[in-house]
Amino acid sequence: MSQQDRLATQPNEDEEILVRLRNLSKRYGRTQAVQALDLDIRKGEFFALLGPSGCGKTTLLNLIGGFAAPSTGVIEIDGRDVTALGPERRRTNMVFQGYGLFPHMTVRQNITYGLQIAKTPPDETKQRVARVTSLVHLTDLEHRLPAELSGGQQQRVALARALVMEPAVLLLDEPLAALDLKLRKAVQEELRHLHRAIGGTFMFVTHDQTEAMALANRIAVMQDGRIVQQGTPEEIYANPASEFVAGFIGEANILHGRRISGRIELDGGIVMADKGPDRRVIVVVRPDDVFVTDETTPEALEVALPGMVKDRIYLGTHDSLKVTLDCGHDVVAYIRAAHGADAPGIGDRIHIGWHTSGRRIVEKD
Amino acid sequence: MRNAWRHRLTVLPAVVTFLFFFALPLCFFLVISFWHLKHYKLVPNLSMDNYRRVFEQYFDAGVFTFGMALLIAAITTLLAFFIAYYIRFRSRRFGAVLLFVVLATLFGGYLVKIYAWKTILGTQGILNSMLGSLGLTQEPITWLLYSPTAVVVTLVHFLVPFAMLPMYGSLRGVDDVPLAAARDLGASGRRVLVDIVLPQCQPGLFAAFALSFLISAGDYVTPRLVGGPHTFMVGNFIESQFVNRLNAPIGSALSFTILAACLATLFAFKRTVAHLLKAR
Repeated sequence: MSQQDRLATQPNEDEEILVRLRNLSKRYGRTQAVQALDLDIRKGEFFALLGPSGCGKTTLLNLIGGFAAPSTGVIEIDGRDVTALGPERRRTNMVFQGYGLFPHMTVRQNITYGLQIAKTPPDETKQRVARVTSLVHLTDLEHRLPAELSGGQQQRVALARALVMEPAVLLLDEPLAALDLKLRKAVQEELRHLHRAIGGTFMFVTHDQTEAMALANRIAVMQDGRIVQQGTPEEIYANPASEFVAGFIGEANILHGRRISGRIELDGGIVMADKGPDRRVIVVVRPDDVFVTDETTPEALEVALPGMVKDRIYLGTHDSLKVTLDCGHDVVAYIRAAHGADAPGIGDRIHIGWHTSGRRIVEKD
Repeated sequence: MRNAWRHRLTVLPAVVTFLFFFALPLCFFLVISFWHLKHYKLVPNLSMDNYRRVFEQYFDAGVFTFGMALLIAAITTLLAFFIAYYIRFRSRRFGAVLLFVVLATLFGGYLVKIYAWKTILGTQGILNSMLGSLGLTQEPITWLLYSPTAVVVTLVHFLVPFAMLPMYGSLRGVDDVPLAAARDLGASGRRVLVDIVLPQCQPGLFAAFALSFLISAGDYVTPRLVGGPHTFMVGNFIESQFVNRLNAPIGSALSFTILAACLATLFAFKRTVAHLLKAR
């Protein structure tokens, strides 16, 4: 069993699997956008597909929504094989990047369009529309046209239009990408609130790891059309399965080296004890796990390495120190801003180190 | 202020041209349409006699012309829409090629196209000789040329590229994402077309329809060359009033009647389309 499998959360048997992807591939000409991918999404999850642009995450979302047909594989939603069905016959609804509102229809007409097609009785339509419009705070804007709304409001219309259909899975394509920073925070909060209030299953695509961490209760990290790791945000942050994941999720110091007879030797002579087979490894240390010490051999820290402060950035809650070690590595450390005058300045010689619990060893292939 | 005037000066040549060559003649003939002719001389007058005669003499021709123009405009708009729709949404890489092919036919002149159809549709024409040699017909089909059918075919062929341009222009303004969104909400392909695509390209629909309707309602060359001895459209009568009978007052009255009827038709078309495509 590889490390990756060990770290991935195994689906719990008694939790219902809502979306089941098996051996799913999508090829565009010569590009393999999604490669032989298996994935389970459980009922009630807020699931993030996270990866850099071009990793196939949007293609995967489109495959689930029915906007593209897979080259191979099976898509099941709620126990039913929907692989061959178009988007209009799947119980999924999508909030598109750029929203895709109907420009010639008012907010209310946009929201009721799906219900109208489903021939929902007027009473029920009224009820459901009233419920979602109040959920996303659109009640006063019902008679406006999309062009008369702000970006945030347009997005809420797109959300309401999808939610009113009561989808088995709500798909969101980069839901926050088009919003400015302040609005993004507000919408994040709103999405979390909505997910709790409705109790539905949400699945969204993002390239922004902070967004994934803030929203999702489970994340799948994608690279080159494959899922390289999945788990809760905490699991992925604490135990990245590869250099790519470590570098992608949160800030990380990545130090290359090899394990030889129970010891990790990094370039430049840093040595740490670690059991395991001999092979090339990387050591991942988060900046907030790096400590500044004035002792050369502190008891609590695993290593203490001399170096010089190259740069210092004040970030409000903390300072970010860039330290060039004498052995050549650059390491970023976060220290509490409250240190004030005691804090090391640019050009100071200091020692840095970390606890055994603060670093992760990841084996290279 | 001075700046504003300078800007207005730049459009002056266009305004002068318009006033002099369009507005003024139009006013002139409008006035003339109330005059009458005495010994081949125009006599100023203010009577509705000309209009009464127009209704008495040309009512049937008018109805026929409008029927033809409506039919031609409907076929042209429909064809133009589907070609433009195909280029915009379905053709991928071939779109540009297709667009070029359609527009290239604009290089062929109006008369050239009419004569081309004469050679295709005639009794000894390409179509008849093909059908004959395939053994599908014993005798040449005679109603192909010199009939209303020939007028419809020729004018549709001539007008489609013109109608396609505004159609394609407004389809290009239709975003793809709302179409996907409509599918996502359960709409079939047909409903997406009717509910999302068509309402957004109403200006294009109107422009295509108006262009093909106005040109075919006013055309008098095509009916004469391929329409045969019994296909007379109002344009032919207007021409003959002005050219053969030198009766400008009747010709003007007939022109203005048709103009008014055309405007009313276009207005009705616009209202009907807007009503049919209104989001509910």
